Amino acid sequence: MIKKIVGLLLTFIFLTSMCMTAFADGKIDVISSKKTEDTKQFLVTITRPEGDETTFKESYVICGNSDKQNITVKLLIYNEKTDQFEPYRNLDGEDTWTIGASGFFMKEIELPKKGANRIRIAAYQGSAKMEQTELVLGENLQVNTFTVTVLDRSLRNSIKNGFLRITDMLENLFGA
Amino acid sequence: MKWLGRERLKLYILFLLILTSFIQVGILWYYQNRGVPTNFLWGFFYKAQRETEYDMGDAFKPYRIVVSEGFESPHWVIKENHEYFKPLWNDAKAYIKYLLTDKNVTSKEEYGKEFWGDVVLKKSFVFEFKTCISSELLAAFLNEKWVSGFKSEGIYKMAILPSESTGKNLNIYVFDGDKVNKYVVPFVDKGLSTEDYDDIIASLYDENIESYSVIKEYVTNYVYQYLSPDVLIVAQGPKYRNYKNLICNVPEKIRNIQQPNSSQDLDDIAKIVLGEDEDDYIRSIDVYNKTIAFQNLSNMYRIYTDGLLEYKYLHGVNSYEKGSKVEALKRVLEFINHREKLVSGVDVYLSGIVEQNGYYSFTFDYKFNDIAVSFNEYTVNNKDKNKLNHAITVDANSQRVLSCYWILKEFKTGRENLMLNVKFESLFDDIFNLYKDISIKDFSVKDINMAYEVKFSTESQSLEPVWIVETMEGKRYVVPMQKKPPEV
Repeated sequence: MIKKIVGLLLTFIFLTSMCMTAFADGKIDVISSKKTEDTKQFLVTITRPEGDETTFKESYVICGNSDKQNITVKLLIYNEKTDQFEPYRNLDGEDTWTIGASGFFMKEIELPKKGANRIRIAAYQGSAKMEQTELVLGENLQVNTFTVTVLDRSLRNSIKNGFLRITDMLENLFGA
Repeated sequence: MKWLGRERLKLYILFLLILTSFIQVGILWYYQNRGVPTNFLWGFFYKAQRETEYDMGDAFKPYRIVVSEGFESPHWVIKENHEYFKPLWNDAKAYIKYLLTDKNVTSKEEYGKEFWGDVVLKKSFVFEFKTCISSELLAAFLNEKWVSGFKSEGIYKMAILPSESTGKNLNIYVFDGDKVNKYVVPFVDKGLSTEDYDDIIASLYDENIESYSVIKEYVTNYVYQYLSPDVLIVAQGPKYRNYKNLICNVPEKIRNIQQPNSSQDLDDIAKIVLGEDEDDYIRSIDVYNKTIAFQNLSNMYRIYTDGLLEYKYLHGVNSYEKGSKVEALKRVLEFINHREKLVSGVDVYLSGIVEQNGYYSFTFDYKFNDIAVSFNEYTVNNKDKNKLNHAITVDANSQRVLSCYWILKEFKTGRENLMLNVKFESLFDDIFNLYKDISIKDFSVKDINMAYEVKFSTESQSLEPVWIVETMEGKRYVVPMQKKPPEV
């Protein structure tokens, strides 16, 4: 009897775990996985960030453009705790949007922390509700990851003041 | 004796003929230039006096001054009534004099037009005109002589980069529309120092001034045909900004003409439009379309009920009278200056110069509180049904103004508070949604400005700001700004 109950329980757990995979957000696995490698920018040209960037401001604007129709863009940010990329909302409250008639998008985000912020921009041809099975990396799914590092403003002032001091010093020395 | 008497008679007749021929010449001269037959003599004196009266330099102002600390920093437009406008513009004029005279210019380098994008991403003080002002005109505006050392065709935009200075020099970049020239010059005496420029930027951070970004920071030309790198856009900050509507009216005196007992208003208009020559014109008001007309044998002025002033010189024009652009512009500025009282509430700026066969065409536009006032395909209400794209369109040669269309209006701030979407992404999508015929790959942007667009009307209009997108090919797209939806 106990064996039967344990058997039924295990079967139930097994079936439940199968169902959870089936109900998962179809896109998340490929797009959110840390291991997913970057593709070429064949759907959307990301113009900001242009590679890994450094900035002094937490407010940052991501931009891109595309000459293709019906392109959906998804913004994600790396979460060290979960060790994967998670959807991240821009200041308009969207983490997913469709590129409009101009073929251009420009979204302001708040970078969450000082130091390195790993941002991922995924783009695919189709609606936001497309299933994972329909997305093939490099074929109709583009994934690009960037690191935007926020530096402390005081560093900027130090550099500026340091430079000014050097130019002042040179001017005093050579009387340029 | 008899013979002598006949000869004397002949002599008298000859004198009479000579005298009458002089009078005839005088009368013909009068028809050309108005006034009594002897007025051609006064005309010479008057002309000499007129030239000393009007200073062209008064009309020389930039369309806008843009200040920025550089990449990722805000770009501020300095309004004409701002305390920094005058010192910055005075400094810029002093540097233009340096460039024109090739005085103290220690170094010159030439770059392609793409380089202008790099310039505006640096800490810069940029002075923009709406059209390229040729070296010849710059020299006339500043009362200077220019030498061949000034390599630019003229100045469309000019940037002062004080932080690029080495020692006592600074760098000036001049963009003439085709190429960028860099000049290294010393700081002007009693002008702004590097510290002064830094202080201006520091204080602008503390002021509550609308800030912009330049398009170059965010968009590249991979997809579109061409995007001017220095187009000011809103990429960061609140999506909606507050603006007032603008009330646009036909000038009161022109409106009053339609009323009974309006002879005083007609006199006042005649005085402004015709000046000292008002007595030489025949006045009439067309009862059907209520157009005011002033006419003599050489000139015709018409004022329509929507406020449009039309002028035509009625004689033929010789091509040798074309003369220089400077002389022609001088005639145009005098023409405008004498009649500017008819418009109120706006500043007039030079927006275009085109050299035609035998004459020059100049266009001017209005700015209300530093926001452009735009006329797009404004229909002239006469049989020609011409379309106007500027507040003032004037053709002139070195001798006189040949024709003019001038949309006379009065402007004042309205009471409505409008919360309008200023984000570039929304604007850019709206263009393509509104104008389905635009192809992304062929699309170019020369400039984007917020403007109040005036439509043909004989009544009062309430104008709301719209986007005016100008392409490299000279097309203009008008895009309404999205209003903030009411909060639920």
